[in-house]
Amino acid sequence: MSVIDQLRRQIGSIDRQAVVSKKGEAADGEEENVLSLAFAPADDALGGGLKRGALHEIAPEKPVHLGAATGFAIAVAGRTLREMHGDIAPMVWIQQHYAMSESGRLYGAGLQPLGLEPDTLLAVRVPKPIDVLWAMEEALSLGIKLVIGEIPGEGKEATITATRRLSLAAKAGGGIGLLLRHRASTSPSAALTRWHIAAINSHADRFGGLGLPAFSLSLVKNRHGSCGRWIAHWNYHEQEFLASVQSPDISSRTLPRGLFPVPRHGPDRARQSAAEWNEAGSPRRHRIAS
Amino acid sequence: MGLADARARYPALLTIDADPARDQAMLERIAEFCERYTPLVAIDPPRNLILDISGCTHLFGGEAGLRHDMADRLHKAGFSTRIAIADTVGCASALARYNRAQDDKTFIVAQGGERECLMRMPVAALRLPQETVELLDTFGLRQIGDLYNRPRAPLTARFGEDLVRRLDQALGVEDEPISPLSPVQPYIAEQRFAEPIGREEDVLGTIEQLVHQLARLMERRQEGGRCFIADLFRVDGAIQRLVITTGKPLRETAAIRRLFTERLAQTQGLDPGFGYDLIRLSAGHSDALPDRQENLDAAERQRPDITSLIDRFGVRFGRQSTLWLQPSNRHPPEYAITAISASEAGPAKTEAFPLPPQDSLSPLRPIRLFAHPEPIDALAEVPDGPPLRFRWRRLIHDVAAAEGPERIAPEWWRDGSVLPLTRDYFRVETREGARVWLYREGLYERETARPHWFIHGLFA
Repeated sequence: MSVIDQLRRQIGSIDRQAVVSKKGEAADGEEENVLSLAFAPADDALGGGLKRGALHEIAPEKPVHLGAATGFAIAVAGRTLREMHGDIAPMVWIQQHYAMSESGRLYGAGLQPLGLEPDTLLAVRVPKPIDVLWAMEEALSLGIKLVIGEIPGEGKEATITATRRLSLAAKAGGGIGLLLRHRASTSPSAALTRWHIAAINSHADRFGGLGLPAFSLSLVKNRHGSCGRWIAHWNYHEQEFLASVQSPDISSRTLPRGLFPVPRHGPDRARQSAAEWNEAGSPRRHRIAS
Repeated sequence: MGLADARARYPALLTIDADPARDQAMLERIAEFCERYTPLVAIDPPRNLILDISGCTHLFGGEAGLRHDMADRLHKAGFSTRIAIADTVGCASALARYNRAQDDKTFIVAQGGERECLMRMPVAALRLPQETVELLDTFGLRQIGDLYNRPRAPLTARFGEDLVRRLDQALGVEDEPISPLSPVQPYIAEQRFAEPIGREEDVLGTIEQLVHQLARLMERRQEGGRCFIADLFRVDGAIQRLVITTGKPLRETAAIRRLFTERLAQTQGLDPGFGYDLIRLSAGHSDALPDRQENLDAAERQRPDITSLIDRFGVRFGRQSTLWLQPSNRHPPEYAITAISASEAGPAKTEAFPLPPQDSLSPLRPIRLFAHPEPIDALAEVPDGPPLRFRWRRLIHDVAAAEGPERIAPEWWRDGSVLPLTRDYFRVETREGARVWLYREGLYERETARPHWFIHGLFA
């Protein structure tokens, strides 16, 4: 073998090592660069998960579904928390005063079932919607892992320029920015993905009560992948989304009843009939006049 | 003589109503102006100011130079002043008010010259009440020198302790502290300008340099400040003050400069007028801040500094804008979770948050809570059935499933003119799928004849 061939082979082996290590880095980089939602259909469309270092938008399909959209945002926050693996850094949730009085403030007691621990969330309350965008930019450029800002009303402050600034800030800091709109908007935006969330009827449990919270997640805009619509149920035991759940159809549901039997007549009659029942031990029989 | 007599004698007399409140306000403004000479300025109503200028005179070329500068500026502002400098408050105030001589040199008393200076002054110069002065007059003691060699005990017995105390204070035998207008901070640095400056970058740059000077002092003592005050003195006498407070002690120059930039942005910028000729920075509320060893390992990711974010939000939106959620001891849902300012405390532990036992597949508490529950019209079975249909914000929602009631009783131990009623909460899912938290206020027939329904929160 000539010297040149030997050298070629050596260079070849070095090249391959370089390529392998690059692939390894790329593989790690991809894992670090996306936040998996632990929901396979959506993760596939997103290419592994929500991209870090970017801005994403969430909006309810109809204003009444704001709770569902908030729930999805909290679930994403819960996933971020799990991916931190012990090196817990706080996350920031920004609300505006008027929006808080109109649509409710974030309630700490309801966060844990959705996977978020209240001591990791810093709540910021600002006077104007434009301050929400400013605060998001500040927090993202500092490197906070997840920043959620609520844009109330029509959301006209979140223009394409504003969202581009937020994307740049997110890229600089490496965290995820979530813009939670209160009304679905089709205006152009520099966000990487846009979700429209709605709540759908849950599958009833055996007792006829509410089942696992069910959502319809519509990915309406995805810059690096395909869009789609999926039904997901939130399983709070495993803190993840399930694609389907066994249960009866809701159209067979009877009129809703509480957990306690309700008398058909007024309360006094109820007491009367209960007394009769106890006395007789069985329904009253009609006496046949003789 | 009365006003009428005076007017009769001199018809062209100019009269203005006395306004003591405005006089006091003006005196306070002059006192603020005098803070450029020394931070220790006290007010002695109705018309006097007392400045403690120990250690400040070298900046103005000696005591005579300081006196001349002050008199000059105040004269240009339209005030006529009498300024006296002495070792004790009593002597200086006596000189300023009762010195008849016109020569400037007599207004400055050399060290130890109080006794000589006060000898010929009237007794009223000792700041005594009018009755004591008149009483001394009847005894023939009209000048302060007459009191010098009298035995103490009879003087105290006849005229009270005040006389002897004032005399001792004036002669320097007893100390007399003054109470300054604004508290003096432990760290002060200032910068004077020969040419007044007005641009915002220049002002911020000066503040940064002063912070740097203070940081070196603080580093020597291993301390950091939690309150930084920048006093900007304008050439025409007005003063602008910028105050920033932080949650944790700070001495990092860049961070403090950023906070001042925020504060300026919030107060709509500077108003320099003709320029600032003195900028003073004081740091207070200092706490221990030991040095921290920085990690040389570059691969370790830096944790984002949440305290600087909290400080900046605090400066821009107020201390109560950045909050950690906190559980509280009260059980009504709107009071069960409160929030505490992040600059005052750290987050509460997750375990402390109330978590009712999860006996359903669906979460028990909503994620959005209305601060004020909204009234709705609901159709429900009496006395305690779940709602079948409700109208909220002019939309009618049919109920597909409901769970409840969860009874939350009022806090009967709290005083109130109207005892709030028991609430039965229902977790309700509408036909469209939206899940809300409704409650009926008041038990049918036991507490009220017509219970009202409200919506309190939204579920995921």
